[in-house]
Amino acid sequence: MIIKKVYRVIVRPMLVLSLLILATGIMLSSSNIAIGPEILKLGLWMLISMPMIPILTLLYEYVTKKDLYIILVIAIILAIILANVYYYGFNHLPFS
Amino acid sequence: MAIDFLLLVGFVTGAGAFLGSMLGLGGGFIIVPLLTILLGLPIKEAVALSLLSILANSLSASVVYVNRDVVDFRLGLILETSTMLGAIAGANINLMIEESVISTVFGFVLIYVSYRMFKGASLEGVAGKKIGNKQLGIGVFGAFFAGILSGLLGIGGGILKMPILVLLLSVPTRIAIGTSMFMISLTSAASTYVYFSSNMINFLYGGIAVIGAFSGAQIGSRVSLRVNVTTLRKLFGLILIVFSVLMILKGFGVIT
Repeated sequence: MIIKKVYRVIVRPMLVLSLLILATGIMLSSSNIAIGPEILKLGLWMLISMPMIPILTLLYEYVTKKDLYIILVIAIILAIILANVYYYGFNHLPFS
Repeated sequence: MAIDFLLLVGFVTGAGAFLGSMLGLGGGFIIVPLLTILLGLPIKEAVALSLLSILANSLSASVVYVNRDVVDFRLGLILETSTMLGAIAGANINLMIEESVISTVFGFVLIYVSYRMFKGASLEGVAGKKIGNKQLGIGVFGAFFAGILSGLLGIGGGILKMPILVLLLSVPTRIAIGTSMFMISLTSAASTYVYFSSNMINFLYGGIAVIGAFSGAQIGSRVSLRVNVTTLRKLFGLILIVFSVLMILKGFGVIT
């Protein structure tokens, strides 16, 4: 199973790396060095986004080609709606 | 910022994760009351820090469970879809309601958890039974509710996920523990993201909480092999009753 390898080769080292980044960030921040909070932010972002890796792997492993096309179509529709909202606001949507 | 207070945050989250991991829990039930009652942090901030700590712990535990082949990914993903939605909803509800309401709800949920502690850990389902559509539907709904509680109160939600997996969906206990931990890592990430994007997390506290909780959980899982878990559960149940009373009193404004 790919997921097992992903956990061992990517998730575990990334977890250790994010802890190291956090420890560095704490040391720099407590010494009032300006870049400290930014490093802390990076470490926390890394930690929060880490579960996306197994999700994407599981999608790759379990989802069939047909499912992928459906997901792609839904993603394109959502992207168009989001782009509309971003540029014109909610009032421009057809249902509002 | 005072270094003493920072160290206290790290120590408290470490102690919570230490106790939690000895009992096979994430530690949110201990971390949130300790941060609010002992250190006086606002409950919303404590919830966010607790979720961050749970995220780090559950991710490292997931690595172990995945390597042991005790995770049912297919079932986990089906249930997690609704749990993640629930977690995002719960975190948003938390940001909208009064702190006193969150404290009171937390107190009442703690009473249930302490009851489960006294009752014992063993959940026995009939393993290997075929999962019907009705059972799966109820499971998905229950998982959504577990997600709401997780995002709202800063807990992993395993206390609800385990009965759903074992009693309702007849998953063997060993697989249920692994699957539940895999699910918790995704649920806590979803709700933490909401708090993170709402600027509810102080980066410095967040960093020290993660490191404290991670270290505490690592020590706890090793110590747990040498202690009598039954006695520990009862002791923990008693502590939780005290916490629940304090949280309810805090919610009603009797104590600050």
